[in-house]
Amino acid sequence: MPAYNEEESLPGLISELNAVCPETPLLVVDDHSDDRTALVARQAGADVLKMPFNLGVGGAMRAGFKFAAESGFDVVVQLDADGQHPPSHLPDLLDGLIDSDVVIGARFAGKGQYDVRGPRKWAMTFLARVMSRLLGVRLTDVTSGFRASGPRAVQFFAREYPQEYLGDTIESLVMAGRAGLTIKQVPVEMREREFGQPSQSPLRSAVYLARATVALLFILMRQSPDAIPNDSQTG
Amino acid sequence: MSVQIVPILLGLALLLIVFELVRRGLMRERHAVFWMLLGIALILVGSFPAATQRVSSMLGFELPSNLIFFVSIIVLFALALQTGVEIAKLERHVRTLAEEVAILRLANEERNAENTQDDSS
Repeated sequence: MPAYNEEESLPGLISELNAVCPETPLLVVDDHSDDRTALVARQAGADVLKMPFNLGVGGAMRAGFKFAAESGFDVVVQLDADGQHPPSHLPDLLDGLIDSDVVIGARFAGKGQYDVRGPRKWAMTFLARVMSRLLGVRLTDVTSGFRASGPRAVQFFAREYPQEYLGDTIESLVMAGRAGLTIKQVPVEMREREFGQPSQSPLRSAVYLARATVALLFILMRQSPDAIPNDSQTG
Repeated sequence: MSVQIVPILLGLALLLIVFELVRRGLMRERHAVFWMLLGIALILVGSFPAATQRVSSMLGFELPSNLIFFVSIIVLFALALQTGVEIAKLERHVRTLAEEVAILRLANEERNAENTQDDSS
């Protein structure tokens, strides 16, 4: 769970996770929050990586994956620290790892109702279509940070996790795909943010669409990273 | 008036170089976007010399090249300032890392000392 100033949502989320998967080690990557994110996470029972300065989501993710890889974990599930990703879907994501290196918990795939429209909706649809074509698999939600990674993916993301805008979601998928990892999605229902308000004015949505398009162009320009061998270590 | 070949070639060269740098992951998006816009501006200036001439006389420059040099210098000033700001940020990060390493080193040494004490007691 990459986290930046999520002291309000984390305690509840961690309790929920402990209820759903009691034996599973939890890691919060505190991206140099100003609030008590690290403290409340630790008190709730999670391990915490305290970043010495703010790196952004991509930086926090790679740190988390690096820790996971070095600690010998074969499977990593990532979810947002704000509680939008329900732990109840964990079994669905993990089941998907049977035949895929990366499993995305996706909106717009049959479960849940989402009030997204206008430029932001166009942006997400456009990105999903392009990514589906690129990766050769039907994806409906490529900006979802709710994902499960199998052994090959854990090793890969411990080395490569982009820090650019939308790099943590879209670019990480493209890089994984180019490196030979398989990707698929399972439908999930996401919750509204409990605390804080994501503002979605039309102007902001249009800016989002523009930035996403530019980000995608750069992603397409970039070279493929080294492929992961098929017999990479398994648990 | 024919096109000015030099700015066009320069602009194209700039775009190609930046493209290759991005492709290899050697340049961040925000810098690449800046240089690409510059490359496009150069190509436009070379492609429309009459318009460039008009703009430069309107702004009071005797020669179009004067305008181009002037704008280039302003852009480079801004770039240099921005680079200074980024270097300062990196220095802050390095300083933080140095502190953390030093503190971790001491904590580690103390822990090792405690462990050896426990072993020998």
